[in-house]
Amino acid sequence: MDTVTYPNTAVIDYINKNFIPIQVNIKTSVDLLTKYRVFWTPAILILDSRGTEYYRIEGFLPSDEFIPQLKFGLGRMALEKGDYKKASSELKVVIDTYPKSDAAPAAQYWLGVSDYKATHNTDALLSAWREIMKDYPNSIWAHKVSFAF
Amino acid sequence: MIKNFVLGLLVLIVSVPTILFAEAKHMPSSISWEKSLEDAVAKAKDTGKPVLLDFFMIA
Repeated sequence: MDTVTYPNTAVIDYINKNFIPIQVNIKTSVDLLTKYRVFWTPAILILDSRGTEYYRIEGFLPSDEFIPQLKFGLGRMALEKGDYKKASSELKVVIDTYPKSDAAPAAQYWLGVSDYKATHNTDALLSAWREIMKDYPNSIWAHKVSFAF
Repeated sequence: MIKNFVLGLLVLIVSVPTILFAEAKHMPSSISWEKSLEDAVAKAKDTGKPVLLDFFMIA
């Protein structure tokens, strides 16, 4: 990550604008390693301002997959916190801006969940999930929604 | 002739770093990593931004 992804200017800009970033060496931060149950690196966690984990990325990712994963993580965090407007907004950015990324079909799945949670409208859920069947038919997310169609 | 060459060289030496510095001023050179999780969490509370915690290993 330090030699390929983190020197990328788009990654630098995105992280500096959207996060308070911190790096810890697992060799010297055993307490944090234990607290967050980390056993392999790289492991990148998204925490809220209380230090509670909401999303993690394990393993190396190049910048064109890393940024959509970070955006997806923000969407998931907002969804879990019940901020459905922000969740849907973040997830839509992943789908619209990075449609070829691995995060996109996952974002489409959780966008349906977010829209449903916000409206309690089943049509919103099925509409979002139908897009997975259309745009990402070979993804695991298509399997996850296949029961509904 | 030599005087003009020297003058030209001086202008080049002075202007190139200035231009490069001006360009660099508008580009982030690296990620602004915090030193401790406590500091990061405190800044997260102040700014409303989430924390990005990266575990790495240097043996």
